[in-house]
Amino acid sequence: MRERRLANEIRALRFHAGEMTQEELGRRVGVTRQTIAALEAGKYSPSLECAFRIAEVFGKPLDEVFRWG
Amino acid sequence: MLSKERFALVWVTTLVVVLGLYFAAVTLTHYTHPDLSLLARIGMLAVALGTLGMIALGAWLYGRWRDRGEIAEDERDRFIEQRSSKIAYYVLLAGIIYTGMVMPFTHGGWEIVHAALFFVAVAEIVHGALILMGYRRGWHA
Repeated sequence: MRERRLANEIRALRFHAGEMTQEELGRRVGVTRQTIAALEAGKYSPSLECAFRIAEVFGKPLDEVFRWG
Repeated sequence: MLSKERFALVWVTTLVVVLGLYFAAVTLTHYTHPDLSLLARIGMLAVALGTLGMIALGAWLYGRWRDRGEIAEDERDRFIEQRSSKIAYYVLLAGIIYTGMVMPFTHGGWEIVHAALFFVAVAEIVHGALILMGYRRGWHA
């Protein structure tokens, strides 16, 4: 079976949110800048709570921020 | 680099270097000075453990100083720490079972002390190495 990974649009959404910095997003979500960087690089799958918090910051539904593929 | 990642790197390197030197010295003196006094043996062990303690404390304090004002720990740090600790625990358990339940019937004295120290070091190295891997290569549930 093909290995599936959680992908995300955080980098693009940060860009559309006025080049919001990783540090700013991390502060608003409650995680470190390094965790946001790891998320964008696909090196970390966040908890459901963290995923919802990120979607909330961008005002998007969860499936527009994260996709399973 | 996060302070936790930096600390793990320093700690693993220190363990390998300091305990590597210690076990090399112990092996060497076993052949060159087999009648080494108890005080000298305890002194060697104290120097090795003291060096480990000082470097660990220094690295931890430096990390605290670097990260002041930042979020101290988040879910990713906790996930990585939990997974690393869980695996290192089983390594330590295997080592302690061997040194505590097998070695007393076949070995004695300093050999048991050194085996116990060796397995503690191996468990700590596994712990630190898994933390490094967690940060560098990624962590997925």
